[in-house]
Amino acid sequence: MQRVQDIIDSFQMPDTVFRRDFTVGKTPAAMLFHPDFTDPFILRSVLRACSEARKVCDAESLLKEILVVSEAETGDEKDAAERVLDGDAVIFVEGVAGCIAVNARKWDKRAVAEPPTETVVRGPREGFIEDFKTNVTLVEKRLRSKKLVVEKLKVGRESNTAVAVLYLGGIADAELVKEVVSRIKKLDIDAINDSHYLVPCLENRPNSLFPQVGTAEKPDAVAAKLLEGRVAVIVDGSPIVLTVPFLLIENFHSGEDYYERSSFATFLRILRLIAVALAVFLPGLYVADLTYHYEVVPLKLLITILNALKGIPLPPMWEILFILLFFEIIREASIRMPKSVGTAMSIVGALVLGDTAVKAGIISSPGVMIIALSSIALYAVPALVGTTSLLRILFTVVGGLGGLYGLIIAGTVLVHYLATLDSMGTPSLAPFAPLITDDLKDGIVRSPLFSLDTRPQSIGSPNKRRLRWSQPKKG
Amino acid sequence: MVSTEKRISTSQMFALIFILGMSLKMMMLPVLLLKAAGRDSVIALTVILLSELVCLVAIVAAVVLSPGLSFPELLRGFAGKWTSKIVCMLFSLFFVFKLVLLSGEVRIFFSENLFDDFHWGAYALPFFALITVFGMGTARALGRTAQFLLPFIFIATVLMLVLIGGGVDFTEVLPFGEFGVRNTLSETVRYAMWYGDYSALIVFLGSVKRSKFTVSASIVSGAVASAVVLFFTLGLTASFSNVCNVIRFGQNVTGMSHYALGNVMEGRFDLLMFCVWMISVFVKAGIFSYTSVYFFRSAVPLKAPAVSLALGVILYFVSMLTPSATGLHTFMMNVFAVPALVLQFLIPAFMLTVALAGRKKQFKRDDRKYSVADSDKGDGDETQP
Amino acid sequence: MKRSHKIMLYKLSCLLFALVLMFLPHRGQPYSDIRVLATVLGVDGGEGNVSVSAQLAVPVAQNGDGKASTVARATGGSLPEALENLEIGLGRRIDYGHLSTVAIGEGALIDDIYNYMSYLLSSGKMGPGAFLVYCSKSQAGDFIEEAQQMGESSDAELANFISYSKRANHVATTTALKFLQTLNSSSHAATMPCVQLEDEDEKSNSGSGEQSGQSGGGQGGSQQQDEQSSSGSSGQSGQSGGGENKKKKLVAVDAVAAFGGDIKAATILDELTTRGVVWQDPNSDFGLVELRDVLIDGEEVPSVSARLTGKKVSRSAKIENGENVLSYKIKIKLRLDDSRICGNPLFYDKWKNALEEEFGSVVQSNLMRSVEVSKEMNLDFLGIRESFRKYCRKGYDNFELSSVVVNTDISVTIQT
Repeated sequence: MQRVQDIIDSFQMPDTVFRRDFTVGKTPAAMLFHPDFTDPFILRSVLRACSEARKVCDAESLLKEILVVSEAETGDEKDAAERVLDGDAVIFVEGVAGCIAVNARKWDKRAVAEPPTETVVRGPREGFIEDFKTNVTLVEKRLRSKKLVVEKLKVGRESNTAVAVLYLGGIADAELVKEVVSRIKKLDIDAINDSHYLVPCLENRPNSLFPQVGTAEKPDAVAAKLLEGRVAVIVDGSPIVLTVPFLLIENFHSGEDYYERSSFATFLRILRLIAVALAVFLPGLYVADLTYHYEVVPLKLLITILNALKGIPLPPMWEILFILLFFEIIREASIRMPKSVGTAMSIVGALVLGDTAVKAGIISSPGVMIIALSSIALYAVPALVGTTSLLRILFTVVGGLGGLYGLIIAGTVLVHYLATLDSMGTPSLAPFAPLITDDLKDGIVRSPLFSLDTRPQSIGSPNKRRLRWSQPKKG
Repeated sequence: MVSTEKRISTSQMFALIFILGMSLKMMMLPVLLLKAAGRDSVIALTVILLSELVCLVAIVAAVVLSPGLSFPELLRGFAGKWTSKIVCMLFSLFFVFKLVLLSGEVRIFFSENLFDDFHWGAYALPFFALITVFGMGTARALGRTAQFLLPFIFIATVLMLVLIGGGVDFTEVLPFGEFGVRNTLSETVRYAMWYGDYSALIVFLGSVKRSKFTVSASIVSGAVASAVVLFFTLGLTASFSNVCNVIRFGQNVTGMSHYALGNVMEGRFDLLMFCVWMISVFVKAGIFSYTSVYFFRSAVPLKAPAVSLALGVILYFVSMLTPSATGLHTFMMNVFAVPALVLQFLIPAFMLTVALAGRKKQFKRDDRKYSVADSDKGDGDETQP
Repeated sequence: MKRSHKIMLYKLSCLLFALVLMFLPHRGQPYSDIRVLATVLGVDGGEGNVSVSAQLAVPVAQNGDGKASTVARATGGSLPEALENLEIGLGRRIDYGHLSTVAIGEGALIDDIYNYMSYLLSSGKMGPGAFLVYCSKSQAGDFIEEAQQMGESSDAELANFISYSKRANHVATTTALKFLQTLNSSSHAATMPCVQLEDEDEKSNSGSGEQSGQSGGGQGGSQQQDEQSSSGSSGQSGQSGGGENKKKKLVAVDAVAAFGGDIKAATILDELTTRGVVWQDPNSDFGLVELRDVLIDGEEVPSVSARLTGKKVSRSAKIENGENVLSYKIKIKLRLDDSRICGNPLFYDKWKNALEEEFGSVVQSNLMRSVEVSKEMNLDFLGIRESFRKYCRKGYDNFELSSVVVNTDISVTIQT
């Protein structure tokens, strides 16, 4: 069949796709497939079924009468090449318009496991993997609702990556969905290798230090966000699912918060906030006080610190920046280095910095302590590690050059900047600014689950209520 | 989803009023009044605060009664295009000078409390960069910034209240009346540039999402801010009433808290608290900057970033030309006392007038619309069998 | 403005901010050194020849042998000059942020003291809450040096000592602002606690073994608790300076020096007068008070000590029958130190009221003694005139200290 040959010839290397000619009844037919993406057993069973057929009038009857048990659908010949690359086996029958695409996909994928960056003590441990279908299924499994919409798109001229936009109809705002889909469709790119390629098109300020698109690696988290009225984006080949809108306070939330008691969950959130504040401001405050404002520090503590600083060749700001630089290098190296030498090198790094450098008088022990505390505190909120790392360097410089004056101005400008930031129209500082009192139930404080009866107003879901429950009478 | 709400909410209004009512007045005004009027500075400040509250009531009334249009729009409809431009330029200039004064106060505070050697030439840059950034923003961003930072400012204020309250002998405020009523009132007038900050709320006319709590929340906010300022002034006067010549300009509240703390061996925690409180001053500077840019753009339609940047640069050089704190104070007292006092009352009155006029116009328009609709309906009715 | 221009503007602003600040403050640059901290400052002499001494906390390298605390001295024609010479002599800047105590040397005149305090306060070197003490028997420099040698830690022993005294003992302390405030009031008088060093073989004259009827007002925290005298009076430090042959004792705040009036130099008030001053000071509301050789129910009790747990002092000034009348109302709450007394069954029936009356009469006599001394010397260190100025305008207009009638209403409650 010429049309089959045309499709084969459209490939840069025609040998990429295989052709199998067979007959359906007495009618010649051909099957095109990619050998690396398809399961030979499925192909064999399809061929056998087709060969056993006596007669076929059109694609529909072939589908209904012969390929009944296969996951197959009719399609346009124009999409045949794409289908072949998707792992389908495409069947052409002479004299029959169109083609039939049979799902014969088979490629390796890893097992569903707990994601490394969202570990929990309690709660589900399933995490997304790189396989698109599995990821979508994981979400569908949790939201077996007729309202769940999975809008499938293809993005990337060369990669034709499958992208799914998930939302709950009637719960997600229609305008939001429309906006997300249109932004993704507008993207004209060669290929997307990961979901993060879509982040710039979903953010209003892609150059900002602060994320405006949320990420999730667990299906229970995505399901919860969909139920709040958000939209999720799954990208084939990426275990990270994007969610919009995204509020700044969500960085301090963890899925585990909803599997713990509310008081403990609230305590953990407050702890995370304190940790991030410490991580960002402590080095700057330390530098500012020791450079300009001795009087702020209690005398005994000041003398202890000054004794430690005596003889150190660098002033506090440069010393802290120096230590920061080394800590960042160690951190980056520890991620990249092979596991076999990781432990040994970590010990060397710790000894060199923590002990030898202090004893040699190059850096001071309070400085090392401050940066160590700040670095550990950074990881209380892994999602913001990049942002807070940069912010703490900025505040250190600001504190060292401008003292408390500089810190206050920088802090005020930062807050003003955050006040202008939004995620798909939702203010990033919500529910604090603008103050939405109902949403405060799940802001810093995590109210008991059954009191979270309305969806967050900041997201703008048309369906406000999600829970009706009355406490059982005592006794 | 897509938030089209560009107005500020009642709680944001609360935050803005609290900041406007407190910041600048608490920085230098108590010390200036103390040096000028001694113990009667408390009376002078009480008069000032009461007059401000009266102005606030008028402003809130204007905000509540306005028909949802901004002040320049209402003014244009009320007085014509060119009058409105002139008035807007005048108001813009007024707030520019308020900014100059505020920058001077910031300069004094930091140079006297926190830094030994303080070269304003360089430290002015981040300050004016801040006001440039704020000037470029929107009313909504300003409201959110104030709202977000209010808890921190409030906690710092409360902590300072607690620190000072326990350590000051308030009986030292007595006796009143030694300076004389006439002299006290004249001092009140001389420092007119230091108060009347609620006038900056004029930019939010037509941009407030009104609720049933708008009026009460606004008045309460103003009252609380006034009470805080009065308390601190009482404390300052009680602490330094007999030694006004010794107190430095920058000491104000920090002098009191320093005294109340007593033992400095434990560190000047009060300074840290005061630095957190200073955020309110910077936010206020941002509000003034936004107001100046807003009115300038109402008169001369230019892009906000350009105007804001120009304002920042001009103010930087103006502040460089200011020789010293006393020079600036003298200038503000001698040149701006009467105009500032007039504007303090004029702006709220103006706001209320144009708001009421605009509202009346809108009612007339609505009446006309309904009467046309009714008459159309009436025609239709006549044709009914 | 285009988005790209806006972004560029933000970036330029940040760069400008960083660049300009980078050139500005010298503290951020490598050659700046750590400042030394002055914790105690002593001032001697008068205008034309001022001598300053400062106890400094000098940072010591962790593996170094340098002294952690030292006393530096300098002189100059005026206080600013002397302080400048101090820094020149040290070769580094001094940070006064932790200056907690200023000691005035013996013989200083009130005008000089006023000028010093005004300068230190207005220049920001001294905070308004810094303690003031008067060295009644030595120069401030000598005193600070001796006191520093007695201490072992690097921070200000004297400042700790004074602040402990304020918190834990029923003594008179004053801050710089309080001193200036009361000196500038209509009373034109102020007091300052005295500190002195005594040789160990000198007897303490601070009232151990007093007779009944006199309260041994707890005075002066000692530096070592285990060497505190049994009477609870006269804080004595038993720690001598390291390496010194002649042992010194730090005796603090057992007397006050009054300044003002027509007398230019300090007037040291005696013990009873000092106690009277302390009783009417509302800020001294803690410490040990004691009765000696008390006759209770026919039995002589050698010592009854109690802890002050609360004191409320109020004054009212009015004109009665053409006379200026100042009324003190003092409410004192005590808690007996010795629980054996409370445990005695007779305590509630007989002893409690007697003890309360006894304490009350002692307080009254101390207070009246201080009023008499004030009148005799025509030195209004109790601030009587200022009370009339505050509360009674007419009384203030026709004020004569000698003719003021002082009434007292003392109520003592012993809590159990």
